[in-house]
Amino acid sequence: MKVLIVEDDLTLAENLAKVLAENSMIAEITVDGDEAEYLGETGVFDAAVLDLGLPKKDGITVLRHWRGKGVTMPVLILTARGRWADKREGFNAGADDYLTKPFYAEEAVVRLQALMRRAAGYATPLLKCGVLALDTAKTQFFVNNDPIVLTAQEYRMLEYLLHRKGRIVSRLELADHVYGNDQDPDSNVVDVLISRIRKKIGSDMIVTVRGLGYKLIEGG
Amino acid sequence: MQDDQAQSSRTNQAFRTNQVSSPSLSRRLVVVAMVWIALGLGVCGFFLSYAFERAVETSFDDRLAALLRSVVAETDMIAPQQLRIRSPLEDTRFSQVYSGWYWQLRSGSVLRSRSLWDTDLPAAGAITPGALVYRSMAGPRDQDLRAVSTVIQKADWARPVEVTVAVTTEEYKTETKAFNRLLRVSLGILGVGLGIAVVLQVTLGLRPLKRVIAELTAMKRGDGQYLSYGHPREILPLVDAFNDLRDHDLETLTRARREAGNLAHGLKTPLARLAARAEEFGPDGRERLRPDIEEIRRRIDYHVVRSTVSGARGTNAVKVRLHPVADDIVSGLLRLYADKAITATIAIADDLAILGEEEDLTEILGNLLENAFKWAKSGVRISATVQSSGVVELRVEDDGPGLTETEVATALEWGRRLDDTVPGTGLGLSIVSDIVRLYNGHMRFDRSPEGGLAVIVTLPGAP
Repeated sequence: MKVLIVEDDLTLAENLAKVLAENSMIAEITVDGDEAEYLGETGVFDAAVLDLGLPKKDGITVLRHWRGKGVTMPVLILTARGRWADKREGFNAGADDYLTKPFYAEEAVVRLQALMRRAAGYATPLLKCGVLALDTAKTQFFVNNDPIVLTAQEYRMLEYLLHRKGRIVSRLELADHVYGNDQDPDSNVVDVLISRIRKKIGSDMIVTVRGLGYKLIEGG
Repeated sequence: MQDDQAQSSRTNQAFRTNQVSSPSLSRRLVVVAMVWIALGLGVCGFFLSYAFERAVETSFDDRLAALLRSVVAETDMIAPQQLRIRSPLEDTRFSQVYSGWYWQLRSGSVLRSRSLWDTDLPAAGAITPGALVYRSMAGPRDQDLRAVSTVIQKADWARPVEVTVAVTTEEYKTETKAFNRLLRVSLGILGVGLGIAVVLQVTLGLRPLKRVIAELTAMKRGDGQYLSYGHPREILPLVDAFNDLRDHDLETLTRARREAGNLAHGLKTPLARLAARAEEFGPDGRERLRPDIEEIRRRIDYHVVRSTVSGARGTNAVKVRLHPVADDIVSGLLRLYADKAITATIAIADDLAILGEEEDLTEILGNLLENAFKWAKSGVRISATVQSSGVVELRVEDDGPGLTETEVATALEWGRRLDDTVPGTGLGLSIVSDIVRLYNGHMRFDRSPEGGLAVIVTLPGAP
């Protein structure tokens, strides 16, 4: 899954990005509110961590802009202000959760995973699709309750498909959510990854929709 | 900062109680006007009465002179010592004994009207012939008489004759009395009329002030924050000064909040960086730094929140409806605690409002509800009722573990315990208690029907 970090303090942002990567997430950092508004609208991100105290355009304005443009990705706001008046403003602007600084990256990871899971419609930390299951807390996939070993890219791809269970996901969309923006994979790489995943979880769960992309189904 | 605010309001209260209030403006105006009216009417009455008396006296004297002339015309001296009235005077009152109408001729011997009987009117003394001498004198039976005398001397007379006509003043005194009575009655009516006019004028004249006071009273009830400009020119500087002061107050609060926010941001970002760096030392190093970082965070939060409390009272307070604030916070917390599947109930009448400031109320409700969501198993309930005293009682309940008797006791001791591990003793409730006290309210704990914690807070209600 891909997370947008909007934070003007690079030390904090990079540390968070590092911990997110350790938990199989891809993070992209921006320090600028205007850029954040644009990036949030691209639809590439599955969640955002938004600092309210941005230097030029404050976080609330960015969040309102996103929600005004119909951006529905879950947003975790970071704020230095512990006051409820600020939190209320954040919630009213469309925030889904907040963390007050100083925060621990692990806590942000847990909150983000929960936000993305709920956004995909799963009520519990255990995501299921037929015989396939994902324990988000442990970042571990299971098939018929047996743990399976996946590479980071395979994990991200399968996690993304699981979050879009039953829906067609294009190759381009998969590439966007699995790779960082500095990488530019061709669609062959996506096909190769899909075939590798199929070998590990069984070939009937990921359906190829010709000309459109792939779809994760419960299978037979 | 709110300590300073409390200080200044205490000072103002002390200042107010030490001042002897000066007499009411309307009473002062009415009393001064009444004194002037009474004085003016009194002097006016005195002069009118005096002038009337003078006029009546003059006309009386003219009548006396006319009578004297007719007596003089009939006076005759037949022989020395023998006076005679040629033909009796027409007025019969001169023949009725002691009628109050008298004439008298004196020239050695005395000839009198029959009405005088045997009483002698005193002589006028030396009079230039032809001149008239007026006198007031006592007549028979203590009658007050007005008399006019003259002296006539004809060529064939042996001696000059002093002719006197005296008439009782009773008649003109009655007339003056009647006039004075009438004068008193009309001046009295005029006085009452003027009095009513003064009261009306004062009432109408002071009405703009009353309107200002009404606006201030409305402000105390939480309606409006500024005085309107629909007042007479004379009052507008006061309105301006008040509104400027109000602007300044609000700006100060806004600036304090912004500065506190900036301070929090400025301190916490490096603190967050510190926490991030701590992670580089692995789980062990992180855990060793965590308590200190957490304490710094809590202390910053605590003081930032405390320093930005408005504690608005008196004309500073506005009407803040509870429901929208509770609704916003509950919907935010439901998102936050989505995994707990909590049922939240808001039992607050739509128009129920407190007197205070919205951000203060947000802080109170936010902390109370967050505490409830944190400890609840499945249900949170917030309700509010107005008591007969006008105080609003807020009740936030959960179905969590609740507090034991001893925990209640320690929780109420406050003492800045920053312990988030026992329900009700965390930073949030401590802040709530501080804010509530600024509003002269109080906070207590109870057991909810489900066995969890119920926090009860009272705040001034808006009528």
